[in-house]
Amino acid sequence: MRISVSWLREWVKFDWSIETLAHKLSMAGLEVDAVERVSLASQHIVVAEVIECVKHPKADKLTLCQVSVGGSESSLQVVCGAPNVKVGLKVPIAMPGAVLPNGMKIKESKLRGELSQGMLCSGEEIGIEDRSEGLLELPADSVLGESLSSLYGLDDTIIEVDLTPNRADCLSMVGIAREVAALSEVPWQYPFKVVETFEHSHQEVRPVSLQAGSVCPLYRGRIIKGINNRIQSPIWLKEKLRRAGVRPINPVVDVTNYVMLEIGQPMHAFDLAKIERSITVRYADSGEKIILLDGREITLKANDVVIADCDEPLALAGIMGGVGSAVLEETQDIFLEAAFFDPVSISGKARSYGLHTDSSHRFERGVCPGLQALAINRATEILLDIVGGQPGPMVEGEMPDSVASELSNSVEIDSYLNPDPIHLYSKNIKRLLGISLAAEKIEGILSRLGMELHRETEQENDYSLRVTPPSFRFDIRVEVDLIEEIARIVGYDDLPKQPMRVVGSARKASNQPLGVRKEHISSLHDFKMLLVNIGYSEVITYSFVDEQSLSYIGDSKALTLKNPISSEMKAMRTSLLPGLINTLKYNQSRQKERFMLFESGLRFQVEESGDLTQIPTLSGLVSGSKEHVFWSKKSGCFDFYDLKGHVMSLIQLAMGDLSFVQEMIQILPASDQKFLHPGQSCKIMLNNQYLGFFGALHPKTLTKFDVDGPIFLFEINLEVLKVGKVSKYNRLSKYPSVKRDLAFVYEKSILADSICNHIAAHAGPCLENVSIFDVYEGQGVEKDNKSGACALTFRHPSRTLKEEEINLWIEKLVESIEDSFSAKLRI
Amino acid sequence: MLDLEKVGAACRAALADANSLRELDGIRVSYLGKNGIITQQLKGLASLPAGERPKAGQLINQLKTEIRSLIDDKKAFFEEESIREQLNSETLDPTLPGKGSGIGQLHPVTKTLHRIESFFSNHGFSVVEGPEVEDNFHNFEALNIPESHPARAMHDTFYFDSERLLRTHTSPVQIRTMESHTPPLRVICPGRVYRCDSDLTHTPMFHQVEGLWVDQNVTFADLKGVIEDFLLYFFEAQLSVRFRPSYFPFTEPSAEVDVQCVSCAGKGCRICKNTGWLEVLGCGMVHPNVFKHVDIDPESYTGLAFGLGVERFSMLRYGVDDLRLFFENDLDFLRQFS
Repeated sequence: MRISVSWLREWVKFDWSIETLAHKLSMAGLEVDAVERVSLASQHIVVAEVIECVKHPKADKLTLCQVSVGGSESSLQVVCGAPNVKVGLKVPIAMPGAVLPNGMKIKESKLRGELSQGMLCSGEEIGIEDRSEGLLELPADSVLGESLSSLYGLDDTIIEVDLTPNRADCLSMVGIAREVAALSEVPWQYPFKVVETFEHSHQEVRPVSLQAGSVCPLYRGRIIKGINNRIQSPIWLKEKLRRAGVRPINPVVDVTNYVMLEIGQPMHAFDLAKIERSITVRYADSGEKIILLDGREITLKANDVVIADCDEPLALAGIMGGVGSAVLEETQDIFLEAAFFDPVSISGKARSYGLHTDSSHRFERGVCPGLQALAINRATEILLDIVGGQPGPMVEGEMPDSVASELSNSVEIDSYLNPDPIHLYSKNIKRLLGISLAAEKIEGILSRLGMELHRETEQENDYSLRVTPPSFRFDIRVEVDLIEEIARIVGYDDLPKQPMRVVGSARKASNQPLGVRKEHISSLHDFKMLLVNIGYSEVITYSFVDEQSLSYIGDSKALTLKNPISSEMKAMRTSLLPGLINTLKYNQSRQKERFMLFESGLRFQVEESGDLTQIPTLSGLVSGSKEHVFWSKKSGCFDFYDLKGHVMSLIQLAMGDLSFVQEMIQILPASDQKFLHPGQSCKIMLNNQYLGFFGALHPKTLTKFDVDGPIFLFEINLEVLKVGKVSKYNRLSKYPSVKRDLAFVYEKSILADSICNHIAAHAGPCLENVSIFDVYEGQGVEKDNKSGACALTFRHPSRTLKEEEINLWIEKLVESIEDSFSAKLRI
Repeated sequence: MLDLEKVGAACRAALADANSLRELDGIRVSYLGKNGIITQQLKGLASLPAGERPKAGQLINQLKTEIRSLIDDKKAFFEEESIREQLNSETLDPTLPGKGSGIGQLHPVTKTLHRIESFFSNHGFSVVEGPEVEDNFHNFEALNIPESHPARAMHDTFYFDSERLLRTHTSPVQIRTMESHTPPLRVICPGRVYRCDSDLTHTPMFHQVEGLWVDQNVTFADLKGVIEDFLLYFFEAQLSVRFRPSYFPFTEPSAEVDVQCVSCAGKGCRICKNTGWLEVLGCGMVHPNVFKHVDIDPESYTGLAFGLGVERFSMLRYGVDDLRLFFENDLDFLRQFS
């Protein structure tokens, strides 16, 4: 909403500066977005009359003009390039010394050899039109020498207010005036005298039938005959429209828009000649068509409401008129209308056709239902002044009996016309705002806002009021709505502030206490910090990705958006990996070669049943050299075991010392993920639940994503990782441990875990630890075999172990391994 | 007996010439060893007349002590020399980079979130999370935004079908929390939210933190206190804070909160569009209709709620001037936040 301050001053004579006005509006909830001067044109631009025109002797397209600016001064010579210059025309002239809004300084000069003592201007050049062709033609009765600034009232400021959707009542000058009056305590008034009756020079009316009575229960209209719509709207009208951001079109259209800006009632005028007999406000027939004023043809739906004549729709109700019945310059007789539309019924209709008009914007948010007569009379009054014509009687829309009887059950319309009173209790003001306010103060605020009040109880500090909101306030229906109004007008700055209170321990406990952090459950932040400390960078990528990326990792069943921003952001990710891989790709194209990336977030898995599960997930990726470029020798590249180390660190963080919980974790070779390298990938089970997977990206997948590899990545389900237990102390043995190393040669396909697990199970009661410390293939070891060396640690809790007993365990163990794995002890 | 003077002089000369521990050891053996010259002299004392023995013995021992001490000194010199050589040979350029991959860093949005969370958890708020694919009820209806409400147009919503959508704010988590818990409640709900909007200053996904405090006597005064304390903590500066009336369907009274521009301290600059103020969050007192949807009696309880955009706070805190950088994940950008 753009407010001309000088127009506002016609309504309410506040004595604030513009800065104060803007601040007060903002602090009352009418947020001021911008404050701008209307025009920067200087005082040296005045009205001039062209008294002589001859061709410039040296330039075809230029004219040599003699102009008069009145008074005793002799005429000025000006060189002009505009095509519409002619003798008798009154135009603005920028005299030497003038500065145009675009910064141009006017000086006396010679143009192609001829003296030019100023510049004749277009509307654009003096900043009152967006685009002009030719000189601005001023009214013939303009006074020579008068400054354009005074002629156009350019000494004005526009305050642009960003209104919240609840404040439809402020989408007009009267609304803003009421608000300023309530804030400044200076009363507001209509700047015009409301004419209620006109002498009827004819009795012609068009009957109006309100068939869609629940959507449009109120409708008024008037015929004005014999107008002259060919003339220009006067400057004051065009300027007020322009400053409000409305484009002047022709006097009839301009006046309907003007009245809407004044009192908030959207209006429309039809060319009477185009209306076939009577008017009906009815639901559209499905498939019916109308060409709107913007030239678009739309096909109507059955629940749309139209203003129609006996033949066809004339307008899309509350949104836009049709081109067929539009008022044009040649129009002679018009039908003016003003209606009330139920906001709920009309809401969303414009948007469904991709439309948004001044009219739909207001009707959706709620237009005061009592304004139609005022609007019609006000528009008639101004129109008669400008375009002349003979007004007829005002006609009121009537509902057919069947519609009326059906509607009598509906309280909705009535509640708009006569809002129910609301009870306001002082104790609730205190309960919500933390402050007690005197009844008089409350009454002052509410009555200035147009509410009717009745005090129900009389005690000074414990009172209740019965408050009836005005019919233009659709946002005041319950008690808190009133309390908000009070808070707003008192000013949020003047309400008390309570510093942060600490929660008292005596408070009632919740049924399921929130925020109790269990010691053994690591937080997401712990996992993130672990990865950061290893060297990972956290990234955040969009939760929606392109379907193709998901297909590369074998996920075809993704949830897809109905209205995506683009096809690249259509499918809800079923994995975080495409986002990570594409981040790597983005950075590879920016000369980066080393990657340690992770992301956490939900992935969206569509189950066989069609149900959606949203799984908190942590995924990571490494690729490139293990260290930042090192200076002594080229450092190695990340490999599978680096990644595994990172994954196991995460699991250790969740579970505690892995040597105590080994049996809960299963690392199973060859994950079922087809997009991973089959020989370098694993799935991880935790307590028999699927935790996730890790491994190298399959060479074919690298090609699909068009990235350089190798790339190693992991994805784990954070819900499953919420395991672990509180640490428990084990008594330390005071006795020395004994270490033995054993190396076996066995078939290459046998896994280290199998050997270690076997050793753990068969190395006697005192084995403390077993680990693989060397794996070797090649010279000295038979083909398809490998040598694995294990370090075994024995210890007894309460005595020193004897050499002989250890030898016995080792002997048995070696035999058992040789048998079970067809292995050979290496001597 | 040899001339001890000469023996001494020869030995001193030999020691002075010695160039290595080995030579030194040779000298030691030849003078002090089992068959060394001095040892022999001592042994020879027995053949001297008894009257000369003490004097001769004293002289020999004197020389022996001197030689031993000279040898020790020289030995210490050689040892010192050898360690010096070792140290010299092992000397590195300590300005060359250290090994290891260094540490990485959290995303700036996560850093900001963490900072916000830590303030509120220190003040008794619990962090709760919820689904991102939501339904109409939790995202709109329960929050007092019925189908026809113009406020729905304020949320450019991504839909999957008539019922499912991507949450446009984290307020549905507040609804879910109030559905499953009874007051008193203090929670914050951080997370990703989505709006169908993409231009210079909007990304279709961003992060919000919303907070909710429901109890028997929570007032607008508490709201002002919570928000102001939080903002002063977050920006680590004594900034002015102002509350402006605004409109949200789920709160009443509602407010928008401006903080004095962190960049120009209110003087007016590009960041605050010369207003001196930065709009940073929205808040208000929970609307009774919201309480009714989750079976909390608005006659007994009041609540305050607030919501803020995390990227906005990140940008102001770290001086980031382009929202889209957050989701491009350029490593050179991310590295600046370690």
